[in-house]
Amino acid sequence: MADQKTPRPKTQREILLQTSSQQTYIPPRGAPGFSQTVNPNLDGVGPDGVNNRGNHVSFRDDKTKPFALGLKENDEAIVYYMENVIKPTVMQNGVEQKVPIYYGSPERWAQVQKEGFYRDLKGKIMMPVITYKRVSVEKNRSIANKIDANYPNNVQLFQKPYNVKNQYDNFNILNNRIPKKESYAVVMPDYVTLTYDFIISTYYVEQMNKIVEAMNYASDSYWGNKERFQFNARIDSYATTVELVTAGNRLVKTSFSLKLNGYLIPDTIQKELSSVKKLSNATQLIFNMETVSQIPETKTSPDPRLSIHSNNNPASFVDKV
Amino acid sequence: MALFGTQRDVSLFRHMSRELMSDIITEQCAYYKYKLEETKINLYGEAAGEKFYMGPVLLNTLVERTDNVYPETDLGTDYDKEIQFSFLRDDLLGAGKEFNKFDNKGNSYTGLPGTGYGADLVPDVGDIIMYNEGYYEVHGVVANQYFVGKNPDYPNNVNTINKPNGPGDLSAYGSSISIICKAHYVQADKLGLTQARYV
Repeated sequence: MADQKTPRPKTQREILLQTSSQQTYIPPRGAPGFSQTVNPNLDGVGPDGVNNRGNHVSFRDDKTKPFALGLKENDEAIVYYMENVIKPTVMQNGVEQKVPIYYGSPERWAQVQKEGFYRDLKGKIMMPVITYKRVSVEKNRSIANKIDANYPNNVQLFQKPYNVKNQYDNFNILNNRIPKKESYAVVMPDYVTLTYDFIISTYYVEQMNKIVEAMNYASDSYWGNKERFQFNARIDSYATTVELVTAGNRLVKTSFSLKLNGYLIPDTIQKELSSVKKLSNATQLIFNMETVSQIPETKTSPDPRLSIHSNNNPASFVDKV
Repeated sequence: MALFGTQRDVSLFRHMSRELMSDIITEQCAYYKYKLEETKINLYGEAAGEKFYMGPVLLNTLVERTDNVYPETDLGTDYDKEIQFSFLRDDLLGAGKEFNKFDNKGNSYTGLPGTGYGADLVPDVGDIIMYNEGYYEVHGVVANQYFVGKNPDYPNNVNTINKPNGPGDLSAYGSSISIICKAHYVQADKLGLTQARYV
């Protein structure tokens, strides 16, 4: 019982060191901006193994989070653009009707019970609707590429204009303070070509014409939210069919493929461990008040300092006897 | 010359059927027909703008329901249902004819003088039937149940024995009993009869 130890979760550094495939990020010497930059995940330990607390950076209370962009963001860009920019509508029974768009094959309960606004009283899907599905993700190496996924040294720096230590204030200028600049290093993304299959379903060809015209006009432009991400989207052809089965309803369908030039920055432990995320420039040195017994020092004392005060209160000074 | 299936026999069956359908089974549906002159179609043969209907006409019917089906389509889980509506042919046709006039003896819905059976309605493919808050589009009409195998509309009198207005006149024998409409479910908002969308 005496030898039993309580299990302790490993730190990120311990995980990193025991994983042989994961190498610490060591910037090349002489590289601009990276000569003394170290991986903040290593608790400030530099390439020479010396712990430097100046390199301790944290994302705590930082509004800018480590950057990641996944397939979901690419998918959301399409919905956003359809709903907020293209806004396809049709005339139905003399009323302008908004065309809903949703990702294909959702869960049954969700589509029947929760998202039932495009269904009628009995649960049948009311037209027009647009559905889309991502069918393939193809790597695009013609734009750029990382050298090695284990060493994503290819990063881009984004400087934050203002932060808590560098506020937008003339006080800093009047006091000749050098602003503290924070930068975020973002790894080179994986450029991919995403292919989506769209199906537009309407009651009438006349309604379909209007939607196809709107989609075709929006083709070759950048789809997505301006405040977030935008991706180039291209549509090459549309195939329209009119389905009329014996004991069924007449349905007008148009299917087309949309190619989206997207990119991915995954939120993986691999990227987290081996890439720089945040760094700051050295801007200020703060010295606390120190007092000595006499100036100049004539006495040779092994420790001329009396004490170190941090609250700057002279009444609290105690002379060393 | 035919021996059975005279109009007297047909009248017996008509009365029994009407009593069965209107007083005992009492299943009803509403029948809509398109106003062809007012409902305009476009180049693609579709009335994308507005549709105009005659009716609805409330009819006694025998309903043969099938189970609801929920097929998985490209759009997701859909809904479908097929229903067969069977009507007594004399309830639909023959308006104003003697056998459809009310006798003011209780053999009617209202018993009002001057009213009678016969909706003057010819069911056809594409008509709409409302039943249990659902709309059904007719995709098939069947009228081939003949009493004693004879349809009086086609007597085919060729010989002297069966000559018209004679005792063997075949137009006085047999009857076309029913009209069966096979229909499938259709979205209410497509028809524009009731408000189905609220967003």
